[in-house]
Amino acid sequence: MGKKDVVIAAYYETKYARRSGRSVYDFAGEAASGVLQNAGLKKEDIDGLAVLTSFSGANEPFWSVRVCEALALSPRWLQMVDVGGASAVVAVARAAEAIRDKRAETVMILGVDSPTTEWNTVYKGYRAEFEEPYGPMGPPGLFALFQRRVMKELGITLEHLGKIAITQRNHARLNPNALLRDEMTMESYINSRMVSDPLRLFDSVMFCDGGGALIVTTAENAETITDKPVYILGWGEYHNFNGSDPLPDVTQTGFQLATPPALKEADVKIDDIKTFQPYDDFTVAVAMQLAECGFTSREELPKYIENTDFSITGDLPLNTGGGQLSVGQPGLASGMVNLIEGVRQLRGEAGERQVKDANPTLVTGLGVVTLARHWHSNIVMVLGV
Amino acid sequence: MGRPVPKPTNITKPFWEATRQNKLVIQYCKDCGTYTWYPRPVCMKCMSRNLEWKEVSGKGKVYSYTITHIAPKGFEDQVPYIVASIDLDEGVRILSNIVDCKPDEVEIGMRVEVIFEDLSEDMKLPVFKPSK
Repeated sequence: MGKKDVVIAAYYETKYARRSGRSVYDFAGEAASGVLQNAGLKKEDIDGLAVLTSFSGANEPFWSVRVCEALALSPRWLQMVDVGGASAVVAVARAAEAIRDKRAETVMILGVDSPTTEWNTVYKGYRAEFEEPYGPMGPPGLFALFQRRVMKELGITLEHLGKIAITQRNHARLNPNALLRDEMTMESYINSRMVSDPLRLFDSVMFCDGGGALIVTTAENAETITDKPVYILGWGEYHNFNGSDPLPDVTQTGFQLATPPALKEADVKIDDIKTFQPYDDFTVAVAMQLAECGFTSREELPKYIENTDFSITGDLPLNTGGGQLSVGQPGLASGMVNLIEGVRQLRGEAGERQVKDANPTLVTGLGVVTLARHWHSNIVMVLGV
Repeated sequence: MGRPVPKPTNITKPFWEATRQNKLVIQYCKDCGTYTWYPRPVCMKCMSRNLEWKEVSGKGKVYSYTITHIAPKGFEDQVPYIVASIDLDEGVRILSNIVDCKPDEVEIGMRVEVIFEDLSEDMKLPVFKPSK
């Protein structure tokens, strides 16, 4: 495996809730204090802070500053990451870069949001002029366009997407912090409420409040924090794939370019991956990542989904905590759900849903739906022990 | 529909002035010959600022579409309605609605052409209908 110099040494995940009534700063305080306690660190040990963007707090221009101030931290490295759902994994990458460049030693990554309690977002740019007048139902409406094209071009059916939703729901039933734990069947998936045809309610995430925090530090520092360090073995990212093409093929994404360098840096092959924790705002995003990250080819994708056991004891355990589809999507802290689950599995702390061998695990982030295209930001990261 | 009325910027103003006269114009790069959508400060291909607004045919075909059943605020009484991505013959993909078309009649590849709907007293929005 690749370099083992930078690690995720501790994590904390809040309880998720709908309409919690709690300020995003309250979640920030809980996650920061919680991760310090889990790491056995004092706040003076934190010399770097990376804050993920949020729907509820980041509408003001000084978001990371306000969080830093509220937590009374005094770091020598401060970063806000605003690439939508990709922000969690990108923040880990930024922290690792800073640590390797000796700009910080011990970085706290904080991803919290409270969108079902306080929605403060105003979108700028083209949306008000060239998207909103046509009434697409937000990201589900735009992902429905993507889903329709994927279904036509790659032969993906509702049954393929349903298998992903049901598998993840089964995993969520073993996760006490998942908000959606009722049994899902193919019938209930297909009959779930139509949001934006062909995209159904069970293809889509549900917003909630909450989030989490991580400590990223050197392998050396981590020795005093934990006996279960999770190594950041490699990553690759790509933004605005095909951004200069006025007629892009939306079924081709930046994961094609983000994955190979991640695997190469980690010195692993895609077949070595033991659990896959892909960003899952919609079922079609999970389906596409199976091909785009190279678990199978585009041509073989339908057959691959049919023939692969994605359960906890299966061939490729998939979003073993239920993913955002069944846990809930804590606004723009969303990527923390998949990322923390990967860390938890690697530490052997996943309780009833623990896989036998999670090493190495692949986590991904994707962020922001672009106009009549797909997602803007792609990141793939290999974690291992 | 209860469509939100856009507030043009200095970049987008020529577009909205043209729609008022039932014309669809798209930015065209005089350096590399690429059409850019949505309106931008530079050519999306070569980053030149040597752009002009060109009137286009308003004809194209459906790249993808969705039938909206749960609508955002202001559109609730219109469901079900069609939101589509449309490839114009000049080579740009634009998001729009397909009107004068039943939801079960739209399909990928269908030929469509632009028409203009009143948005407010002095603004019109380009939408598309099936070509005959």
